[in-house]
Amino acid sequence: MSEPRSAIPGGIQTDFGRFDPKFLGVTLRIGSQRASEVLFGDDPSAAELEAQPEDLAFEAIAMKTAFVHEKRHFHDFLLSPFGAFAARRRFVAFMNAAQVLAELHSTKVREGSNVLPVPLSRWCRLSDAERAKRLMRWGLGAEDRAFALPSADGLVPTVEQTEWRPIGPDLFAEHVVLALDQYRLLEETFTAFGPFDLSEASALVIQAQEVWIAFGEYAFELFVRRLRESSHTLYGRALDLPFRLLAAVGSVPDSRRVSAIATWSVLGDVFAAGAGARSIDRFGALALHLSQAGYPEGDLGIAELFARWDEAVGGPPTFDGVRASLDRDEEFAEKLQEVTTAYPELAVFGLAAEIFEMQRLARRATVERFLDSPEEYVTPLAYQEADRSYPLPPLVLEFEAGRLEVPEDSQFLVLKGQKGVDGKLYAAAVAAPHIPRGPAPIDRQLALRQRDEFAVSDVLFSSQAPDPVDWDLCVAQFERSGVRVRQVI
Amino acid sequence: MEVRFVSDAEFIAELEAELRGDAAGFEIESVEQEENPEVFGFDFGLAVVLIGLASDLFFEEPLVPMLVRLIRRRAPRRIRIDTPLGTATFEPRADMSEEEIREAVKRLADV
Repeated sequence: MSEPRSAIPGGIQTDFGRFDPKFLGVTLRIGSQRASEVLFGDDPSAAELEAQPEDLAFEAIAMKTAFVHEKRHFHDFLLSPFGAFAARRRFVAFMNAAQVLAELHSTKVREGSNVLPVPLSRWCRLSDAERAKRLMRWGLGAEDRAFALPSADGLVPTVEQTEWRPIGPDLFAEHVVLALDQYRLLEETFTAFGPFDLSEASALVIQAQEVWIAFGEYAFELFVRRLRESSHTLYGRALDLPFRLLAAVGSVPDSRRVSAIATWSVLGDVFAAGAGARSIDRFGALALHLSQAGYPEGDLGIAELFARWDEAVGGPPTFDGVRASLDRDEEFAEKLQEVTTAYPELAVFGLAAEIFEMQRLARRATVERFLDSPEEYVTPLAYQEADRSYPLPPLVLEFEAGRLEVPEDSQFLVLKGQKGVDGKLYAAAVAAPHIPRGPAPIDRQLALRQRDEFAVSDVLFSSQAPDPVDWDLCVAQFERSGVRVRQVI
Repeated sequence: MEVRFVSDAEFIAELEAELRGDAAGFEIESVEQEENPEVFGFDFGLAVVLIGLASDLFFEEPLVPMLVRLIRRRAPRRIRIDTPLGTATFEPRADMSEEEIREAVKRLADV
């Protein structure tokens, strides 16, 4: 393992973006002024990259190609039965959580309260004594009053969630417990089907291809080597899995083979018995098969290759599971339409139906394209060249250090920002200009609405520590009605 | 006020030593390795969580100079700090100024 040519003081940025299914788009993180200059500056030439310290060259090529990486996550999410399943569970959780959220603003539930402890998943499981201790530590004044929230410890929801009917303030406690239970199910979905190393491998091999196209051989070699050296990170581990497997079975680790292994691994059907849907389990089963049979040589197409692997590991046809997820989506969309019609007074049902329909159409377009041409989806170069045939995700940029000066005539939509003393507008988060295109165009406004609604719902109900951006959104939303949000550590 | 620090084991060990020293107004409650660091947005294998109680004075006085000192000694890949009032996550550089760190942790307390 070779050492970096030189090191810069402190750390370089290592996490450049994210795809989170709560937003039907992708997010890039700009962690420093330097990263911002790289992203918005001209592409460095191969010679310029070679002249730079390795750390900086790696940071530059990773930042410049991060969108391609996140876009692959976005398409894998749309294509995979797991992505579709998790999305449906999220919508169910959201529809319950959003009703609780609405009730928190109602006079009956609020009753003069102005302090909201979150997440409810933690607060509602504390004893009265533990709650009192925390309220004391927060140093609340005499005029402050925390919301009266039910205890959810050991309680099982008694309201049937599949009815999807409005509940109202009389059953507020019941509904809190139900929403918490839906969030528990949602989080268990990810626990049950993680880890997601193979999803990262799928995105990294596409990103590596983009590095080659945009910056050439030196950058490609540097990018792959630096990733594989960082075996303590998710990214390092992810790329190492297929590389090591191919090396162990005496096969050349070319990008198509790495991508084929990663793609097949992430396309398991959550409803199928047998090899299951966990990508790491499928990878393990495939590794066992390849260790005996080797990686097929010759011009075997992806459809035939996947069918052969399905048979070898004793699982159902991968393509069938992908097709079936579209049918399940359609059933879900019909159910959403039914409740929207039945309860027109409940805006959250209508909003959920509208967002889900956008997602369903994007999923159908991605799946149909994949089934028409699996070769194209799996082969990195072909996938890159067919970019316009897949839905284009809206892009959000978050500036964690520094801020972006946004000219008045800019098409950037400022999500978070303020005017400086110089009168100019500076943004901490923006949505990039988005021209909807492809077979199922995604509406940026609706995708951003989804992001905001799901983010606030997550801060309230998720047991995971809040994303700082989501936290700010939630705090701002409640501040408008005079409520202060407090985090239960 | 409760405070939670999340970072790599080496940084948290150094932070713990500082907090057990003469840092004003901080009482350590627990230091534990986090088995699911992704819950805190960490992608690497090991993360350690330090939870304690801080006085308001802690945010006004010792926190920022202490972070500067620790980061200059060795900058971890990422630091996350949670309080009831908010969350700060940053990837520190060894040459970060005191002002930059103060800005990064500003949201954690009404100071």
